[in-house]
Amino acid sequence: MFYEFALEHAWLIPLLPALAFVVIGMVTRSHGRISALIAVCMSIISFALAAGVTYAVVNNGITVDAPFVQKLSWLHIGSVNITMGVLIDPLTAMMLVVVTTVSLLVQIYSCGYMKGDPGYGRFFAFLSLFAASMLGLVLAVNFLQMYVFWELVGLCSYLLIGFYYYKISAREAAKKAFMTTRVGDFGLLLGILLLQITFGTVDFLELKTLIPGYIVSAGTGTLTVIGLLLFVGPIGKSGQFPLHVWLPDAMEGPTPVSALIHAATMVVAGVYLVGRSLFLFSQLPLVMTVIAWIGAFTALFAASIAITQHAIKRILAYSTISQLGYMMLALGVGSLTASFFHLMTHAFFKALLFLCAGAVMHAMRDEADIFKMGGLRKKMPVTFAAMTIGVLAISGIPPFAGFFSKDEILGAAAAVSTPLYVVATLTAFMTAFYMARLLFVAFFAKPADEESYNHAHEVGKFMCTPLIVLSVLAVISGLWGHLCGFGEWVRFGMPHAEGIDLGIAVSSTILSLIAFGLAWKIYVAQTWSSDAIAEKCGILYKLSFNKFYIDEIYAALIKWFVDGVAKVLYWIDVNIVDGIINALGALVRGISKLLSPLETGQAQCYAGIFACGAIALAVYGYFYAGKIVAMLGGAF
Amino acid sequence: MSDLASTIVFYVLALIIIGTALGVVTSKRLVHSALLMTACFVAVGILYISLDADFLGAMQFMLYSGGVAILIVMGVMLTHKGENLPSNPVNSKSTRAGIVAAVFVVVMGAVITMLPLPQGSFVSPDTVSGLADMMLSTYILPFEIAAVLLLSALLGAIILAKGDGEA
Amino acid sequence: MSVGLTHYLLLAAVLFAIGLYGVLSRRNIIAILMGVELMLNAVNINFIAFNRFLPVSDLTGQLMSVFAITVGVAEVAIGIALAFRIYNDRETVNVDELNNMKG
Repeated sequence: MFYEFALEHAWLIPLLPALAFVVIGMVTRSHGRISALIAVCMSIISFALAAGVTYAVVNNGITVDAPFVQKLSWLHIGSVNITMGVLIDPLTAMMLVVVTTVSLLVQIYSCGYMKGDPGYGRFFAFLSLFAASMLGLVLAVNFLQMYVFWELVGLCSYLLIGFYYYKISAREAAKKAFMTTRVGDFGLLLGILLLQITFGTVDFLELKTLIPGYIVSAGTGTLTVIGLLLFVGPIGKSGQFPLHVWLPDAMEGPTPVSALIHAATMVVAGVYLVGRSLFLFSQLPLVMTVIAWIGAFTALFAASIAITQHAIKRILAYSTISQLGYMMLALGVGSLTASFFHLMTHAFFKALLFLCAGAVMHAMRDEADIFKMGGLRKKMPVTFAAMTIGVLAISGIPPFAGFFSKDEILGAAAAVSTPLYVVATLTAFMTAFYMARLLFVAFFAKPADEESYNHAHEVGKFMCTPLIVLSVLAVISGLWGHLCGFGEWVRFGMPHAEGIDLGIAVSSTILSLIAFGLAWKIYVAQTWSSDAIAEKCGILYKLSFNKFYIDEIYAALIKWFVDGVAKVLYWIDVNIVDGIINALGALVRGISKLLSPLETGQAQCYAGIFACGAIALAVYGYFYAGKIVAMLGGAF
Repeated sequence: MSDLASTIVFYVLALIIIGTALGVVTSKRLVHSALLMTACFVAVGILYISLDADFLGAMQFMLYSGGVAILIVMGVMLTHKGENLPSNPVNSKSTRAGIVAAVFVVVMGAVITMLPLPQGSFVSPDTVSGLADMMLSTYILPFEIAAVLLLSALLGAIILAKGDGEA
Repeated sequence: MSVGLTHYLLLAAVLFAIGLYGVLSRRNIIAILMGVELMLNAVNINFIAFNRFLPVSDLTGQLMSVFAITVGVAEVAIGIALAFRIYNDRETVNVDELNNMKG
């Protein structure tokens, strides 16, 4: 059977895109169309395999408690045995499907979007590697394997964000993304090493069985440190506060890349890591609280920035940060189901939103400012419809996907902590507002620039198809998940009882609708002037518009810190390192100065010194006469 | 020889040796030095004989008092410049050299008198055949090497003395 | 007091010191060679005295001085040849002026 084959050969899922990367990179790079074909074909096969795996998971009764594992030994270093392999449970299967679906659609979209770009082949090579890395990460059996692919994902993001390497801003953004996530990766690495030291293994399943016993015998002190260190990785990768700064800049890459990064491949890696190691985190109340609050704060914080931004992709980027905060919040309150449900629906509607944004920008000659668009709904009906669906989905309007997953999170948060629930609800309100603002300004308001407006046109079929598919997914994935018992499969601990808390659902929906109305009043009907409101908010508006000056603070901090360290190091270099070397040189020079008068060039002087040496030896003999005699005594 | 006689012989010889040696190193004229040195070598040769090393004594007479003395005198003659200058001047370091030598004597004297040397007496009945036996058996290798050394010294001396153009 | 090893060694030491003084204080290269010869003789006295007064059973000491005399004679031959050569090249046998090794 195909699904049996898929299950047994799940390692092919990341391998095929990787193969595409190698083939494109080494052979067909200069032939754009062939490269795209290879990449898409490999993605299709991957997707088919992922679907087969999912079917097998359902069919073979593979659950989170009884996963399917394939391992082979990778490294033997002394007593440390490191394996690589495939770990398949419903979590993995879901991720596989989401990642392959989104990356396939993004690749198809890219066929149209990147047309005419000189780096066409290279782009597909990177996209394939990106997908391969993420798929490998999802299938990892242990932290180390995950870390390897984690870094590969980071590398690919660097390559793709900096795809337009001839643009300085793109280069800077790529560097920023890479370095910011490196900060997190360092913590993650430390956490993994500590795990290896403490338990002698980094295998998920082995750790899962070891940890309860360890907590009984040694308490949670070390584990809390490990947990916090591990969580630093996701903070960087998933753009949580305070390491979120790279994500908005990541839009410097081509839009399909943004879609891929924001929806399926890069940022959810952090969420996946936390979800995968929830067996560890759930034992540590402190870490869980930290995760929940960082998630909640990030959600609110990013949403408050998104409200005032002008660039379409930047709004979406902050919304991604906000939604990732939601996922972290859900994980922090212990609801893997809610988090991953939202991850899935978010992947679909965020990919949809980004691809729509790409379509809009494509049509508007790379104009990103929404206030320079306007009235696009007549020019681009398909994009408009898709965008609307995306906005409705992210705002949590029933029956779109976001409604179910967001309510799941709100419910989970409400069950644990009221402040968290309030923050989450407030975020939901803000989310609805800024997404409505984006939609209304770009598609309803009067065209700001006639020339661009006239140039605007509907996108081609390559770009349209993914939009339609994703729209459908954004509509049905929530309901489908809700009806098919998503919580039965993707869960941690007990199966989660499906059901909508009516109070929460209704209140959040009403709030979203209010936000929509507000946005309509301000931006379409223009009953209230947005400028006047901005004026009134004063400092708050300024803070939000300038992203709370986080970048500036970092720049200043880095300047201060790096310059300070550099000064100290320079001082050390000049005075200590060079000092030692100079002192050595001076010592040698001094000694030679002292000794050079002895070099008279006259053999008699040398002979005299030689004689003095002989005398010194004789003196030595005088004092050690006893020993010499003892030695001679043996001779005679 | 009786004890007294040998003691007298030793001290007389020692006086001659030290006296002539001092003369060698202090004489203003090189030719005097050379002559005094020959005398010193003769005294040393007699000392050898008094030490029951008759063959060594004979060698000393022939090689040092004969060969070396003649070589030195020839060297003096060949490198002689004129009668006006003192042919054997001391250099600026003579005081220091004297101190070094004095210190050497003191230290060595102390060491020698300090050392409780094992006492024994060995007088070979026939030093010539004794030395010959050893030279051609146990010490054959140093003997051969000495032969090579002498040969190369001979050649080297000739080449050096003849100079580049004639070599 | 009968003459023993110590006396000979002391004599040799004095002779050696005189030779050393000669080597260090003379300017004429041939005078220096003479000093060296004195030192060599001092050493030979030592060898022979050891052979005579130490508890030994063969003529090793004397043999050593045979070799020492061989080497000494060879050295004199070379030394005189060198002196001759230096004199030919530089019109001097004064070692103070031979300071090519000055550092």
